[in-house]
Amino acid sequence: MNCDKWQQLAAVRDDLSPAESAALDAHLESCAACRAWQLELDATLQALRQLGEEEFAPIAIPPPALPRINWPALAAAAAVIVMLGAAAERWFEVTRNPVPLPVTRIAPIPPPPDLRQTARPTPLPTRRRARRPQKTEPLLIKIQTNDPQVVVYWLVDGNGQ
Amino acid sequence: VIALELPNVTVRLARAGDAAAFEQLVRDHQRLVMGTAMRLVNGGRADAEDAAQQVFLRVYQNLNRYRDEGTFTHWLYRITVNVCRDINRKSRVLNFVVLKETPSLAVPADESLVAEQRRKLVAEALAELPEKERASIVLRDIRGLETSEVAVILRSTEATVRSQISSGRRKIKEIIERRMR
Repeated sequence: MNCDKWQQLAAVRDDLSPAESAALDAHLESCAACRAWQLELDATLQALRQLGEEEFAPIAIPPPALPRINWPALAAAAAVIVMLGAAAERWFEVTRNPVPLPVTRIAPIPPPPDLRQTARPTPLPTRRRARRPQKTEPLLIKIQTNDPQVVVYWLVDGNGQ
Repeated sequence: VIALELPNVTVRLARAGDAAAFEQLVRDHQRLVMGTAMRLVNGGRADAEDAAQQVFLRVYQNLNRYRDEGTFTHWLYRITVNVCRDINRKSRVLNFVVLKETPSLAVPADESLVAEQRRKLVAEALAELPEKERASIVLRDIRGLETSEVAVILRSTEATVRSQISSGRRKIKEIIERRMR
């Protein structure tokens, strides 16, 4: 180990293990340059430690102020919370007791005018007339409420009753 | 071995919101914070006082977060190191100019003046160290803490801190020798 390595150890002499300390002492006994280096370092450390002995006049440290409460903002936040709470309560109420959607009576659809009596040169194709629902055929109306599990079926006869 | 210190009555009262207890806390630890900050900030006493005010403000704001990990003084030292680092980073350019303008000092013959001159040179050399080496040296040599305590405060390992102390001390010695030539 060269002198530079020994000086790295000598710089932390107060933190060495017993084995490291013994090895350093052995080197210092045989190396005048490192002994001189150690003496200079000790003087530097002494000056360094004296820096901690300085006295300081008390400084003025104002007690930290308590955080200010922004009352308008607090009131607004409280109002929003209350409104949200009321809305949530209403939503739960509606979900538990679904109100069926109002069913308006569907007037019977009047039959289309008989196109054969008009003066059209070309009659409608027969396929379209065949698809027209019969007057006596019942009509099933499916009404979906807010609750997907509740479905109202409305059966309407041929007269719209 | 690091002794675990339960928070004393003053810390507990201050944590509970007792303003008088907090003021007592400031009085009890003012020298610790100022003595550390004076050697960690580059701007002298004015910056150190500014640092001390910021330290105690952070202590006040974070007392509820202090959970008795290690000692209260270790926690206080950690906050001080962090605050001083922040202050130095904000004024880095200015400090660079100031350091460049520091003149070389001649050493007087009188022995007491030599010692005084050496202290001044040491203080200046300390300010030139890299941030972590400087913090390690200040806590170990100026505040007189054990290397293990310094490692706890800086959230580092003892081996790393020992290496930083070794490097820092040798650099200070070299800087002084350069100035004294």
